[in-house]
Amino acid sequence: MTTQGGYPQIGGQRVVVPNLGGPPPAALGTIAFRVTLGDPGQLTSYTTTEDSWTTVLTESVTVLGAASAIMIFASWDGIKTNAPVCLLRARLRIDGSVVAEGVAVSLAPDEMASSIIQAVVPEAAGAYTVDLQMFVEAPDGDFVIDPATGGVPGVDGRQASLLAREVPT
Amino acid sequence: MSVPKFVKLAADATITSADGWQDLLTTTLTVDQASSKILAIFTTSFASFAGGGYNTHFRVLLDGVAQPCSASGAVPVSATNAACGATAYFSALSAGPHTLKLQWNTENGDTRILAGAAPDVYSADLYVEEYPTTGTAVLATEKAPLYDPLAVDSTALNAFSVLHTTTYTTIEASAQLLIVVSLATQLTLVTGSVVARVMVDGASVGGMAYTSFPGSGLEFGAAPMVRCPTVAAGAHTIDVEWHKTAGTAVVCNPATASEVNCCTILAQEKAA
Repeated sequence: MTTQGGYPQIGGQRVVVPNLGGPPPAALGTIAFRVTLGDPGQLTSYTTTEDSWTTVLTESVTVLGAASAIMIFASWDGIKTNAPVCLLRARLRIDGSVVAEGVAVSLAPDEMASSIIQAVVPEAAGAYTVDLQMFVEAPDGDFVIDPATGGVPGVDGRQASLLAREVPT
Repeated sequence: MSVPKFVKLAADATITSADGWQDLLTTTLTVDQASSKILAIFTTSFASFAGGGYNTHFRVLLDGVAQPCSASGAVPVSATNAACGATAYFSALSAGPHTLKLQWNTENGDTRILAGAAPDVYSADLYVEEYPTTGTAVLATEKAPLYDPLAVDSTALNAFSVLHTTTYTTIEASAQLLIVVSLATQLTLVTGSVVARVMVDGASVGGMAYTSFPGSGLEFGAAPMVRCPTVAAGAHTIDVEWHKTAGTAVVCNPATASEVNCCTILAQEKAA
């Protein structure tokens, strides 16, 4: 593997990937199981800090089962407000540990971007803090998510959301 | 808990900047419990047929009211593609039927989703599900999800090839198989598109494409896909296939480049 611009360039061939999750157990339907669903994190406004991971949304989830996992969905919809082209990155954390990342996009000025990042992570019973963080490489300016102004005149609904919930394994 | 609803654009759709917000997909979800939330996931892929450098926007309406569930994508130049998607959760609902719409709006040009002519490239899909917030009786029936992140490097070819594959087993005789794919790639030095599609047991359930534009010499793109085919009980193979139209497109192993690239598959059996 070589690198270009600080990021890997690859020429390798695909190999078989193990199934990391496995099929659901057939007996699951008979197991008593409860979910605590946190309120959805909804954003008031967010502007990136260059070259620093900053928290967009935080959610609390309580796992009740002894053999459960936390399923996380997060998404964002925002705009790059200034020049030049920048790289925007996102990641998910549980109690400060990164559990998913890699959803990176390049954005030119006035371009908007949205995507979904997700994870399912086995966890023991207990309370956990989940957060969505984003990062913009310096010196490339600001990525703004602003539900109040919409980022673009006449366009409403700019948002970021985060949900974490217990699921069976 | 009610049966989740999934709707998929089956015909070509076109919009211009003069059209304002237009309906794209509509479904009705009947909520059993007033305390429930609604999970909504949508993903889209579209192309510019006139001009570039503009954004196209999507939003979800619940009973006619726009919700904080939106996504936007930028088409860099004419005759290129963009893709986007979002998740959201709505609460404060009454029990009974609720109408959900996916709408779209473009800033310029002639924007099209060629879901009929080229379903492996263009798509619009909306999944909605009642999420109960309490109650063991309802939640005891939930099936375990599968989560499978790609763990190796991969390089796209000029025609579809498998990027990532996994297997998920459904239990019920007839079920909906919710699949959410999050993909992020890099394309070097040229203007070209990354095209990806989801295959279930060897059959395509729709694709998407986005174009990287070499403004800084090394471009990154990311887009999700939500799909929900109805399947019979048994093991199902879920493949993410991809190709590129120019240059060199790669997904780097999360173990060595986790900060920029990924291909994750989330699958979960749902009631049909």
